[in-house]
Amino acid sequence: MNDEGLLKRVGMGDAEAFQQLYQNTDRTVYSFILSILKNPQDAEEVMQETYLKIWTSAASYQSQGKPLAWMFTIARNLCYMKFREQKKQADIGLDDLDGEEAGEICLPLENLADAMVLKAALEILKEDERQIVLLHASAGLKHREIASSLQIPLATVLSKYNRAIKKMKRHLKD
Amino acid sequence: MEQKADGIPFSTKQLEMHLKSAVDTLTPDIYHKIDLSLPQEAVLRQESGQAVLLRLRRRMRVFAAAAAACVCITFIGGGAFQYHLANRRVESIIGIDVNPSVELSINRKERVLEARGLNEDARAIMEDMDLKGVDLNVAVNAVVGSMVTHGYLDNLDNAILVTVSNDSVRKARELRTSVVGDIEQTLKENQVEAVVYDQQVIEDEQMKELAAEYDISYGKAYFLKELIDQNKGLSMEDMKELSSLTMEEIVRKIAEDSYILGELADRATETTAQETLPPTETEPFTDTQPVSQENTQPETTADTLPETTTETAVREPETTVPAETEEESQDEQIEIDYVDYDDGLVYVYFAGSVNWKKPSVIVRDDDGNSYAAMIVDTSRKDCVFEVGGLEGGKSYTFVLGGLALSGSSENVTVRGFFEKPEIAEELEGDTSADPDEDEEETAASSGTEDKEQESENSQESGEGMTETQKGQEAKPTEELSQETKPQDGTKLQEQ
Repeated sequence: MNDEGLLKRVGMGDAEAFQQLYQNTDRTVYSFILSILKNPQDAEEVMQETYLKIWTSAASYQSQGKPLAWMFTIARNLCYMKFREQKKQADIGLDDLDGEEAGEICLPLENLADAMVLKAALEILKEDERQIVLLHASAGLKHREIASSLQIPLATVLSKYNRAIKKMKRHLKD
Repeated sequence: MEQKADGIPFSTKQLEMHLKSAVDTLTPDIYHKIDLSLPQEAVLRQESGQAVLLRLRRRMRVFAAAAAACVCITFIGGGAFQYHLANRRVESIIGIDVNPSVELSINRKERVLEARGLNEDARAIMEDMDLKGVDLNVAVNAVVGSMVTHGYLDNLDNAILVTVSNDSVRKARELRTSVVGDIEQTLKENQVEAVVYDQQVIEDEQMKELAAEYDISYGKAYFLKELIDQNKGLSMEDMKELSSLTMEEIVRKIAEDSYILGELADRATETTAQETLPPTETEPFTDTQPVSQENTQPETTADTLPETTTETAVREPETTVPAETEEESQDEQIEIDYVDYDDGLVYVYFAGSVNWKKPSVIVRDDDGNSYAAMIVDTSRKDCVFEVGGLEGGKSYTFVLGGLALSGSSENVTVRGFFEKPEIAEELEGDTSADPDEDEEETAASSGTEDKEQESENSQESGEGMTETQKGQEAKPTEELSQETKPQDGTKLQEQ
């Protein structure tokens, strides 16, 4: 069953469908959240909240053939709530959190090359570029699936993806 | 896994591999942390209220207790249930707009679940017609045939809009081709000529609201919204007037006011009762832009970009361009930055900005054989077209038409080429296939070689670029040598 069907079943309270949906999408959802938050610990928390929200709200999903877009909307909102929460706690602006603390990204990865490349992606790419790169390279979504899920033109996805990869190559080469 | 030090270049594949590996490692398993005992909000909102929720939760407990024993039964039962549901579920909606607007909801087997007349004209033509359970092609034939019988397709200016709504782009495209083919066949049988516009859409709430507001079909709303978006002279205030027009009247207005049809135009197919049409009926909508692909003399050798959704044999465009038009258009050149091939899609990136009017594409191999190709997306910086039936390890030439340099009003054609790598076939369906991979990159051409070199140098990165710029020949603007003054009833020549 595809994600659309699974989501409908989840809306009817089907826990097995929910587990299947989770298995199908966990890497994608995590990649999306990480691309916004840039912090693995925060991303894990928000991922948990996202799936909980998916479970509790699934029945309100209106079939549009874009289950991922719906899940991303939930994840995005929770990410921004996280930002607000952090802002409240640290009394710093959203802008400060979104990009300025690039050097502080800490990735618990043993493989240095993995860490270096992901760090580069999180540090130097803009949020929309990070989303596209992580969703394609890390989560394995096709460009057209990304275009549909993020609701942006396919050509824009392709263009941003290629630009982002070149940016990363140049950064890592220097 | 290999370790890379700073300063060592990564290939695209390596970057993707490391990103995948990194996220694979980081992705946590939080499934067991999710409290599924929490009530589901929307269930509470259902009419039957709390009772539904309680039943649901009780059922879940039963599931939990008997999960192991029931798993096989659940799969089998669920499969049958799903199969049954799938046949009753609307998979696609086909809209047919002339003035009567009809929507056919079909299941995955392409059988009609519901046929709706969206206006009085439609209800009149569908009177006594029971299309439920009928195959789509039969239903299309019946609907279009009835339109002919009722006199809605009785002159030279007929226009039909076909809209296919399906979540799957591929499925929508197949249906689109199939439905347009059925309509063309029906029109031919009835000896009726018409321009058929076809579009595929994904349902969107905003567009649904727009359609409801103006009491028109979803497809017509989509068509008009796209028309308004592409023409500065039109605004949403014109929606009221446009929505009250028949497709024929809309098309006439487009021709009279020289509105741009943009991507819609490449989907236009003209059906003819005869093999050829008089020249006066085959002129382009946009008179101000002489475009070679709209050359309207059937008997001439001047040629033309083919309709992008057909496999019509392609004549050689370069042999038909009048020399004088080449000279006139030397300053109207569009540079292709680079071209990528990935999984049946060709991505063309321009060095500068372009405007699209009537996008079209033809693809040929070195032997002159043409391949079915269709533009799937355009923007000011790039475009994507789909092409099928290519062999790996061969190079192909493409010619894009219906675009103009930003700031220019003159339509030009741009030529480039690409190679389908041998490896691509093995990778088809591989989600990690890389459109930017050097070995898959292809060469492009347009404008002058000098400009190409400048373009290459201006790239953010030179990697992968040099291969994309090799051996090009310029293909300047092509023009019609004949008059292009618009007139009522002008039609877009099937290309």
